[in-house]
Amino acid sequence: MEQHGERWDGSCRSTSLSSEAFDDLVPLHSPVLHAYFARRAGTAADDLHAELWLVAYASRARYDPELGSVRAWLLGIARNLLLQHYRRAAREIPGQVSDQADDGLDWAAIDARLDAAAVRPALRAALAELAPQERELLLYAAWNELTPTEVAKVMGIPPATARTRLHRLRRRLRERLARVDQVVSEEGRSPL
Amino acid sequence: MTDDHTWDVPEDDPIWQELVAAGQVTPVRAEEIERVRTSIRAVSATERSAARPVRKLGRPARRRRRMMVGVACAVAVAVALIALPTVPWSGRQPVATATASDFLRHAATQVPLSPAPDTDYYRVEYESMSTLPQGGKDLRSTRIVLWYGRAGDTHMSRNGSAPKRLSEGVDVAQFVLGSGTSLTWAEVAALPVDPEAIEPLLQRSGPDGRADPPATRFDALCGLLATAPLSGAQRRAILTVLADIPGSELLGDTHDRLERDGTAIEIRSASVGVRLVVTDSGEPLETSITTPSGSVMEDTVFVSARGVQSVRADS
Repeated sequence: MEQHGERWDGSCRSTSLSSEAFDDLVPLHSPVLHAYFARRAGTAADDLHAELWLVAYASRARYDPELGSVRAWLLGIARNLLLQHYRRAAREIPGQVSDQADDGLDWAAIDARLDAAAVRPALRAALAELAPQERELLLYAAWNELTPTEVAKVMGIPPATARTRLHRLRRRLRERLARVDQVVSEEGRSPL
Repeated sequence: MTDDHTWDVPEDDPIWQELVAAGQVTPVRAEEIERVRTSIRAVSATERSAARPVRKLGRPARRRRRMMVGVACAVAVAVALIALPTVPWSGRQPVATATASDFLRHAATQVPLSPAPDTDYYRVEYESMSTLPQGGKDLRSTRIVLWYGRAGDTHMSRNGSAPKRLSEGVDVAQFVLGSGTSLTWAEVAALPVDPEAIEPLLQRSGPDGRADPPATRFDALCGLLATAPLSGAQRRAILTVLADIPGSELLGDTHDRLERDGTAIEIRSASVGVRLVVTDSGEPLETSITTPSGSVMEDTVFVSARGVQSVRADS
């Protein structure tokens, strides 16, 4: 009998993805990918996570290591699945996705996560002031440990744009919160 | 230095740290990861089964096939537009007391005790259907004829083209026993006729000499029944082993894509399903790989399988 025995060298960038590579990729990237869904889709996270890997496996021939890391590629697939999940939910249970922005993201789910994490109201307010794509960019970088280039790949924008926007967004958040702190110290009011 | 190195990771930025902390969620469970790995292995095994040639990575034909299957899966899973199910039910319900196991055991008794083919080649014809990238709803059907040679050579015709010998040096899995094991003609001929003697082989036919999960085992054995030059006694044994795989469900009477009557049996794992349409005498007619929601990712209809003496387009 012949044993099929292709080995994967474990490098995410050095080779295209063989079917056997997924045995290593699944445990390597599942924590980030599952967390991505858990923050944004709650109890549907398990199903979406499983679906993501099936889609990724089926699409593995299209992965090009020259275009980015495996993690960014997987998060790109995750983002598409999440948007489809929101659309499906909106069709099946109208009104459930209450705060769906033009870009299709369910910000109510993300707000619920911020609530659960007890993010201070001032930061919540500062985030709320951002345009949806800006919020998404910021949270992608903060929550998925992605570099600007990887965020750019996931969101389909130029790397330089992602880098510039991230710097600008962080500065705006700092300034916004500094203003709140100033009001608090001058007027003795609680922030927001 | 790449662009990424200019990104100063804001470790000492309290606002950033607050954002990062807000993203903390319960870590994914180890069982969930294992379930996904098992599903991927099942799909991988499915690709290798149904007697499709397995070529080394990088071969253009293999790559094209993967592309097609990839797109098909992606479209099926992500867009959920496929209406291929399409195994339309006749409305007739299975016998109330029957289970998939009962059905398969009974089918095993109906297999004629014919000898294995003594010809030089075993000709297998099947039709595979997947989705195309354009529009997501289009379906492409590919008619494949394979001639498996007793000497180990394999020839293939695609959509009526002249038979072409698959190159030497290309890894052609003739008959698949599991996701990690393929058999030569001689090894198929030596398969036991005692179901209990087959079971130990399956315990090490998966990757790294381990057992495949039930859905993978089920699919591999269906492929073996459909495409290998087995004797009647061997078929009976394999059907009995199939009956013993836990988790299969008898769906009911149906017909396949070629309108042939059969009975549908399905086995599901967390992320993939394998659906078999089989005759009362245990002859596989059709296998489908489905998503958790039941959308068909890939569908194979077995048209015919018989021994022949030579490789000819009209044989």
